[in-house]
Amino acid sequence: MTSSAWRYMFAVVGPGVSMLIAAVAVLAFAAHLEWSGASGADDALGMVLFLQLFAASTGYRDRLHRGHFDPVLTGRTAKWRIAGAHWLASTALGFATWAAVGVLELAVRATWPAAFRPAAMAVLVYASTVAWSASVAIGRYGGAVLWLLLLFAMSATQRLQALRVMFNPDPAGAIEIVRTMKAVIVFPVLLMLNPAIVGWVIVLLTAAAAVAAWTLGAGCIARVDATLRES
Amino acid sequence: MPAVDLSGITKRFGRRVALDDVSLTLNGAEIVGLVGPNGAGKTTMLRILAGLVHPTRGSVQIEPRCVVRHFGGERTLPPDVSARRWMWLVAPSAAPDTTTRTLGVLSRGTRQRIGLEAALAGRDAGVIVLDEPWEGLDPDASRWLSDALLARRRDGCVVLVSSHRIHDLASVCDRCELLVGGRLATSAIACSELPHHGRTAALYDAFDRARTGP
Repeated sequence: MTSSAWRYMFAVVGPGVSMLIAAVAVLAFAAHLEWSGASGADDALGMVLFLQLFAASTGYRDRLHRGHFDPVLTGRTAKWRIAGAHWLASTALGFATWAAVGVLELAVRATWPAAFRPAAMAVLVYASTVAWSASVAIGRYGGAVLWLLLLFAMSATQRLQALRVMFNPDPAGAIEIVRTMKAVIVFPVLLMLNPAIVGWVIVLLTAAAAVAAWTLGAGCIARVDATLRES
Repeated sequence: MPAVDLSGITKRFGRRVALDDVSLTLNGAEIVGLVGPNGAGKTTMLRILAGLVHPTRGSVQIEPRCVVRHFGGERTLPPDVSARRWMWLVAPSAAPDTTTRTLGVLSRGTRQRIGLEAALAGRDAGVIVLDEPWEGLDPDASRWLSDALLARRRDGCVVLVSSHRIHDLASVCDRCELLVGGRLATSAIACSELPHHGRTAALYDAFDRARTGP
């Protein structure tokens, strides 16, 4: 990706003041958990994930049709690079907050933090990318809101519990892998219950699902016309 | 080889045809005006040339070494970004002189001027595409814009500019194209062949003749 596309996207869709305040608050909460001794900073990762759902759902079409992306879209920069720049600008805050929580845990307890376990990182990348990709198609915060509505609906109808039963962190056969991935795709937080015991197959398939979600978002960015609409 | 060659461009939005088999060739070092009533397809045509909108049919060929710069008007500037930061991102050479206030709080004319300065800054651009550039500018800024366009033409740039302000177009354009209902009039109007004195009136007459036919 060209540095100019990344810089431009970060300036236009990068985190606003409210998101930065929320990230600082989550970090303060993580530090409190760490030093109060009740539990580790890892317990704040769920909040980081919740923050990231909204931070990454920056949307694309609204700003596109206002002409805000014209300078990077004019010219010969490949659309997949522009999509990469938009994705990185949208997800950077959550990634940085996640890494900060991990570093905090590492510094204070000197144990390998959950934030840096492959399964937990796969959850972060997958959830960020799905929220980003959905918001590219739907609009700002669309990915986060839709996903949360889905989880609430499933929780209300006891289907979330069924997903938990389907989930096996280290499945043996193909059928079990498929069942586990069904659960992970809808409710990836399952991988964070105990990320140390999640098998590599599930981690890699979650990463592959993130790549598929990114491809869908990037495809939308490549296809949609930057026609101007009156605001 | 022409700097820009639009060939058989058709653009449909659903069932509506915005551009219908439009072809246009732009050579180096010329300023071409694009005139037409509201809804004629001018903005769509400019955005297709800039690569912002995909044509339904037809092709756009731009000389490989040409850099395209486009400015679609002050409303296309992101309001939450400071003017200096935005300028630093799109035209670094012009950034130091720009205000640090966010674009959204600036007046319409100031935003328009900032966008135009970015589009016209530097000498890397081979093709400059401007949509209603005189909109919102005061007389001094309008004169600055006309002078800047002529300077870019001297540098060898090709400039395509759409506007309703016939007198401003008449003062800078080498030729004008008339777009009506998504189609270009058969022949362009060569502004440089019109008399200097009363050129605007002559241009209006030429458009009337082009619109109504011979």
